[in-house]
Amino acid sequence: MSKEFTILYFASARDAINISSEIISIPATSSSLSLQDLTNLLNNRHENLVKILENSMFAINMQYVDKDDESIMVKPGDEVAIIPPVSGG
Amino acid sequence: MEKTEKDFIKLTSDPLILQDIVDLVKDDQAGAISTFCGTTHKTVVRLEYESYIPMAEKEISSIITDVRSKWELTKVAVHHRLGIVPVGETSVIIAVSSVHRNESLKAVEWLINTLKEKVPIWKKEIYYDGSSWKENTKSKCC
Repeated sequence: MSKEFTILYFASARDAINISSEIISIPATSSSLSLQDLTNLLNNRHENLVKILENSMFAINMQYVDKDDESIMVKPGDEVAIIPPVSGG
Repeated sequence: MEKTEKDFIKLTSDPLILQDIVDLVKDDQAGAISTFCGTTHKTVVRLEYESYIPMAEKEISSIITDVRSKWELTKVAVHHRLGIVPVGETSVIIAVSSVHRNESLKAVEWLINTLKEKVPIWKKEIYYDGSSWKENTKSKCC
């Protein structure tokens, strides 16, 4: 069974790595990822993202999540978005 | 289904026309229509807006639910432009109707402030010698 989730990059996050979305596999040893695991995984994949991630929000399936909430997990099939500080209006 | 007839949300690459959006919120029961227009000022060559569109629509819908719990409103319209917005053109229009003016005036201010904090829309300013992504001062952040 595939254990993949989609990740979307917007604005400064996308420009930093020149990727707007990718599909990532959850490591074989686990069934889901904490937000700290996710941050570590993304920082390892994209070193240009480290500073941007510090200032960005995460959304899972179009819902903002609290980065400090250790009970929140990214599961297979989720759509995760990196939301840099917004600037609409 | 009443809600869908009273709330109007649009993210579009087309120019925003104030009168069209005012017409959306006109109502025989409403004695007041209040509006806010955000316009590109002249310190830049142009602005480029992008959005996480489905989530932005969901967030706008959620802030309209919130604003309706604060004030008694008749109709609410929030239209935001995406893509390239030349200097002098309008990037966002909010229009609210209510029976009396107090509610719609307060609601418009709250809506634009909350939109700027929460809705996943980003503005890139293009200058003659480069560009940069902007951050709203109270933008929702970790």
